Amino acid sequence: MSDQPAKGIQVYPAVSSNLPPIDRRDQREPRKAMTLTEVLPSIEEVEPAATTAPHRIDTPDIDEVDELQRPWQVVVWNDPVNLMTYVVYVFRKLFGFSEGEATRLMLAVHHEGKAVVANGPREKSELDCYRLHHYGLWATLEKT
Amino acid sequence: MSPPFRRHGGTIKLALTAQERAVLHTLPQTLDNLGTPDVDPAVVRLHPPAYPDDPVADAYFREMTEDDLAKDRAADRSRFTETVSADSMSDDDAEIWLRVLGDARLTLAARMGIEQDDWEDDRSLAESREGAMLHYLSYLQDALIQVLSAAL
Repeated sequence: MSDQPAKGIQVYPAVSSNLPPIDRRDQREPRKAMTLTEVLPSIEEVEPAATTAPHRIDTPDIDEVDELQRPWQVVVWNDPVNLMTYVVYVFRKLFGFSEGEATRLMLAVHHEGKAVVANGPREKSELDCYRLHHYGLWATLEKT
Repeated sequence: MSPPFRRHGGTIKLALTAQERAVLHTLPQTLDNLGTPDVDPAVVRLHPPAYPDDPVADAYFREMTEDDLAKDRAADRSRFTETVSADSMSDDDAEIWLRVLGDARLTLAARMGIEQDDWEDDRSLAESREGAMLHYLSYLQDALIQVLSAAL
């Protein structure tokens, strides 16, 4: 049905393809690609010893770490046409909010001009944005 | 005056006149024949930018989703047309009705240049043909929301 995930919505590559590159300058210990959870402890453990041991570590670019860790948020903006009752209904239907919470978010949209209605990984947020567009709500995506 | 929609067991009963149904029958046609974004503000309104501050990401999102959105909306309109003359419909059909009524409202309002919240109090707008239609669709959508909300 329409409120199920749409096919083809997975826009961005999976997280594992977005890992920090292997540092090719250090050929002594060829590395396999690491997952984020492997990279992060290794920084804490290895970095203090870097001054005493000639051991290179791959320091991930800080933006790439942000990209992986930081969730995205789905923002709904005020518009003069969609009914308040409709906006409340859509929030309840798509996100399972209670009537009270959906009403609080709708009023935030109405009085403050916008409200964050969902957040999470990029793919999930894009799907949420798509579903809101399908219901005619003015939704955008931004980093938290 | 009986309500236009009423829950009856597992279905939703439609109490609409022939004239109302004739009007509703035109909505999918209107939505089928939108113009291009440069001449039809409804197109812009129905396709908000997902990434308003990032043209590259926005173009990518659009490219990856616009066919699906067009297909989903075409399926909605097709089902709406099938059910517009029916005596009753399912909850799934009613959900489709909500979206088609909503898209029609957004399209009308965008073409009328409505940008402020106070349009509902504008008497001359309400007396215009488009304004009367907009108010009628609001009434219908709200009535359907009441029936569907009771089942959430």
